Amino acid sequence: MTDTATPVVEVDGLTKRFGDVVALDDVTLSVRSGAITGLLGRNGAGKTTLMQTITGQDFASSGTIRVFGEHPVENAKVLSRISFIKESQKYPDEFKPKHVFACAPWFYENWDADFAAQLIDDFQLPVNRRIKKMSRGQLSAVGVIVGLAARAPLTFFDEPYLGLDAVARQIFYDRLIADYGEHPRTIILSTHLIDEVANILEHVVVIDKGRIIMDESAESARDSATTVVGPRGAVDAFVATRKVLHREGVGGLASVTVERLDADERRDALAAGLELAPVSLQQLIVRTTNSTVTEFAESASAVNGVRS
Amino acid sequence: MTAISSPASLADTVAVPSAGQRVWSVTRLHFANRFTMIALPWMIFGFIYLVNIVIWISIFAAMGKPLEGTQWSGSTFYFYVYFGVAAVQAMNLTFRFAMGLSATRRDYFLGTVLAFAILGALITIVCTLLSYVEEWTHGFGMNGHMFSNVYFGSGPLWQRLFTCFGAFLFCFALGSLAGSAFVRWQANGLYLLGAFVAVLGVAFIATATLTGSWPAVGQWFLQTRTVGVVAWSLIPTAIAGVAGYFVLRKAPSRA
Repeated sequence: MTDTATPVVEVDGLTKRFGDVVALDDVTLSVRSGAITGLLGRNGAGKTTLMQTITGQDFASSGTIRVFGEHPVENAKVLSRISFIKESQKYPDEFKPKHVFACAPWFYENWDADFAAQLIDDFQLPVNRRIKKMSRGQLSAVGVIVGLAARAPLTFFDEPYLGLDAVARQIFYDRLIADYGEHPRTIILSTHLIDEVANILEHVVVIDKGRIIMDESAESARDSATTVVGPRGAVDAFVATRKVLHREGVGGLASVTVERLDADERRDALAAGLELAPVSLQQLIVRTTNSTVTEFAESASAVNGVRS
Repeated sequence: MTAISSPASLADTVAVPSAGQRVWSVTRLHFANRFTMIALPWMIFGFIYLVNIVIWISIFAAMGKPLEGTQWSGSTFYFYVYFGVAAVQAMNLTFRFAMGLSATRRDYFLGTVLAFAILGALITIVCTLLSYVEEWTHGFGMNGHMFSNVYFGSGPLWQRLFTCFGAFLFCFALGSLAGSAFVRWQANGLYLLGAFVAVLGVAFIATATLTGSWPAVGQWFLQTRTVGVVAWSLIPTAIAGVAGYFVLRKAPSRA
């Protein structure tokens, strides 16, 4: 009865071109049901385009997309179960937040008005102010509230909290986690603030220049690299035969990030007087997305290769 | 996995609303902000009427006898033009919002047609009613005619309703086609559509001029009268409506 086994989203060979620009380049991906997946990557990497094609807002140039097992474009059966909150959402000119919250329940069967009211209160959103006159943060709050209160089985948050301060963002994370616990669903969250969301992500997809370069559980992603710190000579000797993802040093000290170490290797490192530090998701992604495309593909496949 | 202990997934419990419900949701969305779709048209409506009445009163006061020729008033044309513009604007403003609420383009288009049909029907009823009021009161005793004009407000009841509503549909269809073109191709779509309409117009004028058929054209308008012209306009209305639908079906909803 649980459909955790079948992926909610299945994308195969998806390519999207805008004129000469290839926004998505042969993307193949499946999103597990009932998890919070982080869709991470730099600006212009293709995050928004990927979500827009999956939700039928835009059209694929080639490749296939299946959402809940069906083609999503113009498919009310699929779309009525999707909520896509995007940073760039446009609202009718004269609309106030109260109009948005009045319309939303007509489109989302699971809409929880009490929850919406509580969120409006939490974010201190002025529901009677014209959206055009609201600050960037307030505008983001409108989207966040719709996305949470809609309780759509498949929810996309695309940079949902531009302009929200740290307190408001924490409210968002807290409410998201709490409500997700009570009403499990599939959530895809795209953001720049990787460290902030690292703890709530169960799965990580990294996209760079239109290609998927990482697609694994958050845990395995974090374990996929370790930073070795110590005297330069000892560090260099230790990493000599390993794939180096990043290297920095001060004076006689070196700090080198290498791919996953097993238990024996960790013991050897400690015996050699080296310190091992975990690599945060953010560092890992910065380091993988800093390299050129080819290095990238190599390091990504190397990272994946360790697991298989 | 964890799914064993957690509540049933939401995906299993969500019902898909029927096609009628989905279309109606879009229609309601158009009326969500009462000012733009409900108050504003009537304010414009009332303002034009007021201006007309003030003019009638001042002429009536100056001349001291009932007015002549107001049955040729073209004031109501403003409503039609406004209606067409409102259709373009509404689509520009609400399309991406409705898409953001996971509506399909099909449901959006049908819901928009229904919203404007309702608005057009309401205005038609009021226009027709006022045309009778003007007749019964002999143009408020001044022989003033705005709604009881020769185009839309004369003849039997069915003719008044038909010409008024048909003209609204025509303006809406053109407006929605322009709106679809704008949503899909932005300004370029409008330029292209404008150029296409201009070419059609020029072709017609050139044909009529070169073949010396202007008298026949004038004759046709006189003979078919407004009722006939509106009836014929249902053809371009239908064409524009269908074209608008297909243009919109492929319109992306981007930032």
